[in-house]
Amino acid sequence: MEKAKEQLVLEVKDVKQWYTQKLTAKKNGKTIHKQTVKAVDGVSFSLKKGEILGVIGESGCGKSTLGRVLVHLENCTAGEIRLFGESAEEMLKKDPLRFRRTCQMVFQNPFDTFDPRYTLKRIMEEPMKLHHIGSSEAERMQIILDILEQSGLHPAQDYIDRHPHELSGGQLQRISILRSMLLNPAFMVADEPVSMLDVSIRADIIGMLLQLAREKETAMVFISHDIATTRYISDRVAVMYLGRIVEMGETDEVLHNPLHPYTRVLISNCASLDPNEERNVIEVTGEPPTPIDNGPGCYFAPRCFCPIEKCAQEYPGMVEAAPGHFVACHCL
Amino acid sequence: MKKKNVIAAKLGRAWKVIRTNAQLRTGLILVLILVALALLAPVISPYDPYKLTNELQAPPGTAGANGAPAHWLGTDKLGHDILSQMLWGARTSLRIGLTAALIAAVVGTLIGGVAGYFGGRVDKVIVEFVNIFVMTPSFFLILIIVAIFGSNMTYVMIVIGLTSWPGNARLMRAQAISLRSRTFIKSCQAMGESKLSIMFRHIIPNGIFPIVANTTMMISGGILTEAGLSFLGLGDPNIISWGQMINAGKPLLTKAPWVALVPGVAVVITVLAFFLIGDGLNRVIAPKMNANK
Amino acid sequence: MALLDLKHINITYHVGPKNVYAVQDANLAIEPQDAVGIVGESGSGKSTLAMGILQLLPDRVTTIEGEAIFEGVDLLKLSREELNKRRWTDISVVFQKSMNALSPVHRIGKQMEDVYRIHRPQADKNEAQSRVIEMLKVVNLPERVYRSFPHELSGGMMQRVSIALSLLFNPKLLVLDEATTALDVVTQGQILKEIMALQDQFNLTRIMITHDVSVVASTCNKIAVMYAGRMLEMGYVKDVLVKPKHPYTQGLLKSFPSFTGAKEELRGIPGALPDLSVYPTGCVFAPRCPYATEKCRGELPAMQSVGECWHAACHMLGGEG
Repeated sequence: MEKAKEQLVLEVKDVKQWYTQKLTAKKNGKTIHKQTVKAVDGVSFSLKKGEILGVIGESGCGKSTLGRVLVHLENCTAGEIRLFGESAEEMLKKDPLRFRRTCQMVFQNPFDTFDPRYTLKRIMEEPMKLHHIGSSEAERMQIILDILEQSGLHPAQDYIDRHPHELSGGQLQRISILRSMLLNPAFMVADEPVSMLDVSIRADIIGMLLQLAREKETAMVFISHDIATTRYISDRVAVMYLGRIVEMGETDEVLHNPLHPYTRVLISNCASLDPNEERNVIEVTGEPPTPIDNGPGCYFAPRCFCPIEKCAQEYPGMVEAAPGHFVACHCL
Repeated sequence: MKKKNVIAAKLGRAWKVIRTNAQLRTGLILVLILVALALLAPVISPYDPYKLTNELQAPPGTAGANGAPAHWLGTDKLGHDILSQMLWGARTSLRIGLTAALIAAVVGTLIGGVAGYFGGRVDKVIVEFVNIFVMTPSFFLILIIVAIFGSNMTYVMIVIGLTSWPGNARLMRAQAISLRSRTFIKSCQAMGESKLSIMFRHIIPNGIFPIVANTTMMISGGILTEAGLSFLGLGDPNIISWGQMINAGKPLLTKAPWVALVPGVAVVITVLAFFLIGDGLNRVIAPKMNANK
Repeated sequence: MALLDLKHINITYHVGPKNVYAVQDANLAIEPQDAVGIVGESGSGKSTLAMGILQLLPDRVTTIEGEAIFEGVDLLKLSREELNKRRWTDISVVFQKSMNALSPVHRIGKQMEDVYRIHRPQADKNEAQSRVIEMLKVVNLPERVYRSFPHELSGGMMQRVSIALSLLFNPKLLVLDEATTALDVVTQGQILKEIMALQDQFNLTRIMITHDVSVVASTCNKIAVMYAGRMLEMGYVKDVLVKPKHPYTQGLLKSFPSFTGAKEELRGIPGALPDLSVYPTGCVFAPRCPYATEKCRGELPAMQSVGECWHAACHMLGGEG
């Protein structure tokens, strides 16, 4: 129960990110010129110090948009994000550099994370100068060499004048993670950090991310479509469907005892490495819909295998089904 | 030491591109010759370009009087040595072309970069503004301005520059829009770099290449515009330029065709040279264009 | 007799002054009605191998050596025209982004009919149409797809269209090159299940090229593991994935986090892919192998039998030790 007393690093309350799309289409006999894409449609959660929350869902469920909103690469349409109780938006306005130091992000594509014209030295040096890390040129150089060495570039001295395209994806992603961690962020978003890398190097990157997060007690939102990887790294998971969290709780509790029909579908479709394992795949019909005009009912109802009447009329509220295990479903 | 190696590698790559691209090579050689001639004008021109010799309308190759140098390209109505005038005129043409194109490049890059990177309302306003400029017939705009402010060469350069930036602005805007969604720009933003700094240090340097190519082509445009103005009698009368020379040769076209023909051919070659460089650069940027040869 | 027998396939790319040895000495026999998964990471040469035997690589910059015997005919000796006749009718391929091959301004049905008529020029409009609609039904697509444009369909539906297209002429061999990689888990699950059902229905032989071992585990009966251009291990899925013999296969399987059981420490394979433009003197995996000896670095290991239909190329196996 000690954990409960710990300070909340991040509180997210009913965050929404809607985009207006211009188009000309026929809908119900009427021609419309605009439609609203609700990429993130009311997400709330909180993170404690050093806690890692895995966010899983299919492509288009809004998980990457959520990640960008959390570090304010985009301003959200509605809702509130608080860091240590302080409004993130105000913090960004008052002291943008402090906000950036508090919130960092690791991106999906390591090959495009750095300016292709810059040398590794410059890539690392500029944010350090910006945030006043290292008092002298020599000290900064030492930090840069340390980071390159840790990224598996040996001897580091030979690499400082290289350009990003000369390195492998794994090396670049390590540099990206270490560079972000250099700022000692209290909170970090990792948006599919290994999905573009080869399997045999993924494990080491995940290991490094996990170790650094534990060392520096960084709270993290780990976005992924790979459930097994998410299970490995996160303390809690949140399952997203069409911009909303449908289920959230302790990792093993949610993944081994899924309550929401969508979570069950997602997990049952996860292929296993063991060819002898019996698989009970729950099938769903239909295509993943787009987050446009989802109607008043549960967004998953049209594809659900056990809908009841109420599902089509009203979006279910979050219920605490077991301690710390929240689900939004009518059929519990 | 290392830095030297990096520079050497870059030069090596540039050399390879020049060697393999015939267009670029031809253009560069022509421009180099032109620049050399313009720079050496005081040394190599046989006569003072303003000097009125006694040989009037002498055809090319006429020997000079009293052991003076020959008029290799002939003389005009007043006895000016055409070769000397050509060499000094090259300075004017190059200066006008370069300055005008440079002004257009800077203005276009800044306006296009701001529109593309900042987007939203700023973008909408700038796009409309650019459209207005595109729709205005720029040559007549230049004519009006010259008519009002007089035909000073500095004005002419600035006016040509300020009317030809919209092409560059459109290019830069497109570049900025595509760069804006790249991860490394988001990464810089997440690292805390300010928007202005990102625009100057990442968006513009990464998107500048097509503008460099376009600007090279615009040098020819500048030279042509100046020639056109002078041809219409609106050039700076105090300065020797190829356009002025063509204008002076116009009435003599049947009696002494070389007076207009020599600067005319020079304008064509110069324009072609810059165009070759610009087009060559374009092909280097978009190698896919000729990959299927 | 094997339906497709690959013998000593070597594929080399010529990039400027360098040679990139993308596939080296690949041998693989595919029996009728097999489902073979070719697994490898990026740079392993798995796609190059498939593209190579179908002559889909640019001639100017590649050399292919070896034999690819398909029903007694060496595919590599056929001219492009002869091979084009066999494509679709005997062998068809589905790529990761096959949907990009469709024209965005024509309706799906029309485009599929055009493909049908290329190989059956005498077919009339009705025959082509009924065949296309039949195939769309086979892959569980609603009939409206026939009149749709490509942009109106989702990724999963487009990939189904590609599969329907590839099955138009009842090919004997279907090659799926990362065909489900870009799709979501749920959609991927649906399509994989459909592919397996189709296999029984059409007596298909199937090659699945993928980087995802779990796809092979759930849909194939045989597996071939490639690394840096070489086949390192092949055999029945039930053997190879349960008790892998080759250190690379072992390392690869350990790199996948497990979904059940304890969270043991994840172990990747340290190091990176070797430079493919340097012809290897020893085992290609030796620089990253935890058990590598002098012999591994100096001498290429040969494929040796380690069980029924089970081969691995490693010096550490068998009596030679």
